[in-house]
Amino acid sequence: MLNKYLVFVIGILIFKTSFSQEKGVLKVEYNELVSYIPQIINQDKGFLLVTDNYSYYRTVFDNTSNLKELDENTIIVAALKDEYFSEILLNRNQDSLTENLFERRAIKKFFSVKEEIPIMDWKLVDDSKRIGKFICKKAELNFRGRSYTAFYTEEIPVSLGPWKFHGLPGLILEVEDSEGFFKWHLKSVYYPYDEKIDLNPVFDRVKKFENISYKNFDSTLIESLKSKFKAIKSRAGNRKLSISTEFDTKEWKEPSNSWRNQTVFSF
Amino acid sequence: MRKLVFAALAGVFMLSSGFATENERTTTTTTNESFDKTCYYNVRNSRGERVGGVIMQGVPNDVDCGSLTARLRTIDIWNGN
Repeated sequence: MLNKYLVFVIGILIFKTSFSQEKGVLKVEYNELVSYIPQIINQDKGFLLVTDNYSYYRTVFDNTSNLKELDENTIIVAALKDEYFSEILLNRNQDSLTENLFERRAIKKFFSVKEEIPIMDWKLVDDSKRIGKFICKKAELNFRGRSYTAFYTEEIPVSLGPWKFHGLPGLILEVEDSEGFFKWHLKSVYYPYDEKIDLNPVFDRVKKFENISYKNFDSTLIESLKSKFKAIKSRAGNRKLSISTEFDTKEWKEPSNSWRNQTVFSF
Repeated sequence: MRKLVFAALAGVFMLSSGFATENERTTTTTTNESFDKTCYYNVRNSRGERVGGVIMQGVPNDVDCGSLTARLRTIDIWNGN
């Protein structure tokens, strides 16, 4: 009787495990180079996993300490390693994009930010270059306040790439923005990729974090930042000096969007 | 009565000399320092990402915006101290 029960439980566990895992299609690793000022280059890593229904992109942030002396008008405050978290899940069947993230600028909380898979209006350019063994074609994009140049290969007919990038007739192997803040370069690619991919931990985090639409998240964050910067100004108000504060979204990955053009906020 | 008059005179003398000293001091301060300098600071985190800016207007002209003291004062403002 006990043996039958044990076999039943093990059977259920095996079924659940195999059911919740998806067959892989593609695995890509990218070097993500992020540099807002020439003196500091963050060498993050990006991992793209693709199944029949989903594509999953996770950034693993560089935790090198970069507290260094810069010019005399720049003050450096610590960036806590634990405050950087981002993973993006595209559900192609449901046309949804979900980013699980830690909001580090003002709210200090985990969110699961959802939107429809955004339209990326790529312009194909008559130019090509070789990346590794792949012949790549060039394309350009303006997306949410930033201009990008990408190279993609039709030899891997998967219209995905790092971060939220998608919509080209092949895998994106390299992307850079025009200001040189963000660069994604191919490190390795496994195609076809036959391993099982377990996305359950990602689904669990979606359930656990506060669910919010991208539009609501953007407006909540901007309002929280406004409150934060007004508070800094008012706390300094009893000094003889006149203090002003400001923040801007110019160095964000998405500086603006279809409902917010303002990128500089002064108080 | 005479004592009272002397005391009143002494008081007037002390007050007037006190005023003179205060006036001299104030005048001296105003003459030597003016407060029309603006210091602008970018605040970045250790990944180099800009997190905000602090602008201080009315800084004494002889203060060096890039000095450690001025920068520490700005960090105090940033941290709300």
